[in-house]
Amino acid sequence: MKKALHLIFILFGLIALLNGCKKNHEDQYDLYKYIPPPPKPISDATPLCGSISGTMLAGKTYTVSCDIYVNPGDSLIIEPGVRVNFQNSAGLIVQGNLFSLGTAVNPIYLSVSGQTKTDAPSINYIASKDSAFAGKWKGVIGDKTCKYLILKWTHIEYAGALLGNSVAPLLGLAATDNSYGIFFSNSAGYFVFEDSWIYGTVDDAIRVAGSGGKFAIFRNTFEKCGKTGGDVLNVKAGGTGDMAYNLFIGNATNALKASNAGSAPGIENCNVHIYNNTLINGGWRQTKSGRGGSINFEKLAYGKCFNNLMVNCRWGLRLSSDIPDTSYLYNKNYGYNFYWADSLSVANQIFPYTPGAVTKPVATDIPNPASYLPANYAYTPCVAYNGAPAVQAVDPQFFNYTLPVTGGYRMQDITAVNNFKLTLKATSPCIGKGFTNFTPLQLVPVDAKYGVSFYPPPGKDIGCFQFDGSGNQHY
Amino acid sequence: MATSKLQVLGGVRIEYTNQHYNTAAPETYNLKYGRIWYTDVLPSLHLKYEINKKQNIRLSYFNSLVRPGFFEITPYYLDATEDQYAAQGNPTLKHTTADNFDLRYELFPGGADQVLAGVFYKKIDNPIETSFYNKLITGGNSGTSTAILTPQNFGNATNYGFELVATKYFGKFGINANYTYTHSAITTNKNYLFYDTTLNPNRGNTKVIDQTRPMQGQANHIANVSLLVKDPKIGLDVQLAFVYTGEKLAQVSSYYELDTWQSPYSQLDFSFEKRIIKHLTFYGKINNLTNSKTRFFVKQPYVLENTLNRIPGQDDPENSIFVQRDVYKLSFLAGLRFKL
Repeated sequence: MKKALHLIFILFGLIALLNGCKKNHEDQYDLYKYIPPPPKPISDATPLCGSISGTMLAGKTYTVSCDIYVNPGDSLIIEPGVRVNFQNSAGLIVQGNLFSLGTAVNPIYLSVSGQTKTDAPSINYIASKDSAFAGKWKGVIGDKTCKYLILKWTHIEYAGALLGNSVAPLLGLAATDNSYGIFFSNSAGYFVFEDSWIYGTVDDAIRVAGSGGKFAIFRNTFEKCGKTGGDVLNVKAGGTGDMAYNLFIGNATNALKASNAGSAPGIENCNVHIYNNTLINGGWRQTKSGRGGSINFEKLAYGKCFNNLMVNCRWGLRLSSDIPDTSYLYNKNYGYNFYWADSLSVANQIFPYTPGAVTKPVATDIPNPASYLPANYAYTPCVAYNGAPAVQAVDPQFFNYTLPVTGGYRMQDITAVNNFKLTLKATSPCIGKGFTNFTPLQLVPVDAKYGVSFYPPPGKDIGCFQFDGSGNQHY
Repeated sequence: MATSKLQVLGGVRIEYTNQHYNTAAPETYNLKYGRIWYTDVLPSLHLKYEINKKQNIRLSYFNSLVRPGFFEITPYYLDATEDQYAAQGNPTLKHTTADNFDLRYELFPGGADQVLAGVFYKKIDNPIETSFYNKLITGGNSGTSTAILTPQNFGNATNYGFELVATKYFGKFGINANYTYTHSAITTNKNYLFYDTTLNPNRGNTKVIDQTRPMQGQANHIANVSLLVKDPKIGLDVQLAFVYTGEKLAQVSSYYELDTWQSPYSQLDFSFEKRIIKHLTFYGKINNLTNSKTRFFVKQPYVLENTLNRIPGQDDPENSIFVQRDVYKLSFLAGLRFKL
């Protein structure tokens, strides 16, 4: 009997071993997937000008000599590794669809030729001498009929040329206004900007305006956006979507701005979920006073704002007085934002001291505002306070970016990622402090090519780089 | 292996499955053809303890698999013109496997009489259930249809319960009864739609919450009682069978607590067989003698804008939304069988 029991135990053990084997029971598939041939290959033999549709083929370099138009209903597909050099202040006007589908290994460049970058920090940096703000072309302009404006792993560089007579009316601007990096304006359309880069714009890097549109802006890097003004991501009435895991450095004004300006019947209320972004040295080139330097909600824009890491930005999160008091943003829709201030002038503006700013302190921010605000601090109307205790209070501990800034550089002297590594050290106080109990708005369909690749949930670490390697992939 | 009273039977079966399908769909149709393969190592162990010549106790464990139906794994699409909903197949279905544990007592008093009583526990990985899916399996735009009935895997289920079986003959007359109670639970994500203007001023909000429910098609109570007449001498075999099936979940909804349920139903069937001459048998069946009907419903009050919607046909608007009734009526079958 005892022997029998032994044997039984051995048998059960064997069974457990067999079932523990992971390969056991696993379904494997080989299912047919239709791969459409690239429609209408576009030749790189001669410079492009005028109407364009079809496919720019992988690895080729194209030259654009005057404004190119993707007509309503047409599509332009850009394959991985393509470089497009715009000449003569040309622009890419999309009235149909644009699918610029680069990859991590073979990104796409929408740029110009012959520019040299000067990205090392420089003492007494002067924007007018930086080639980044040359404004050599008109950027990507999504017109009212643009249904899909999808850009993945795509570099956009040196945009911001004067719009000129034929293009300016599409944006409701004057011929002498500077263009943006990307413009989108179709409430029935979808705009996706993923894992991409915008380097050097004269005005806004991205503007969603006109009738707005549904967007997903995830995991991008924005360097040197706005020469002496202009925001990086500037969303007006009708714009709804998510902005997360983006890295901003050296922008002129706000990194992220949501405003319901331009609201009209039939246009949806501006609503933006802003989370897990890293913002460095923003706001120092804005020549007008009282303008933001990090994140800004105004004119009845809605949204959420969590887990953002703001380092030496000229102003903290600004809720403008026309945000509906108590009903929306005050209702636990922002917090868990992290501030670092090298100097007192930065610390004194974490709660912007400027007319109309009504940012109500929340205890979840780091450092806790209660640790440096006076007990009687009034957020509306805002009063000046002494931010001294917040100066150099909690170091976010970047992998390779020393705080406070050393080497005699001012905050505005560092405008590009260059050789810095803005991921977090294992000991960073940002790790594990993020708020994850909310969801992205998720308004754009998910698709590897024709939509958003996936919706990244809120990150558990504050900022755009997650210690587990998720989040922004530009490192 | 066997000691005097204990028998142990253990083994491992290995099954390799390789399924192919091909369709006449055009080349642009995703999933036009496909191959699905998997290997299952299925151990089992059966212990039988003989109390005496008439009584046994059995303890068994076995690992089992259920393959999806062939039609289920093909990428078919049927639109909603014939039926209420569009339906599609799902080549990415996973097959179902289960760990089964059984403990059973058996008594054989003599003849064909028997009494069996047992408890069981099953852990079921990837059961296949049919629910709405808002996308085409083949990708692309589903058009206006956002509710396509699709076989899917939702996770793992646990079933446990007990069963009783008894058969007793009095000469030519017999009675056979069995009863099974099953507690079935599977927890899956469901969408929950709610309105909260402080969260979202423009539209309703959806959140995902867990719901625990029985597996689709698994009734909590199943009972059968049959009255039998068996006379091999004159070639007579008559059976009157009563089947009771408890409430069960008929269709899984993707929304929280909006599954479709089927009410309990009972059915009475009669069948007979009589040998006429040596090789010729006359047989017949009358199904559904009591004219049973089925009722499908959603376990929610039928509320429209905060008031109960009392419309004809909605028999219980306080508690449920009546969805569908299937009426089968009586069915007859009779025939002659000739055996060589």
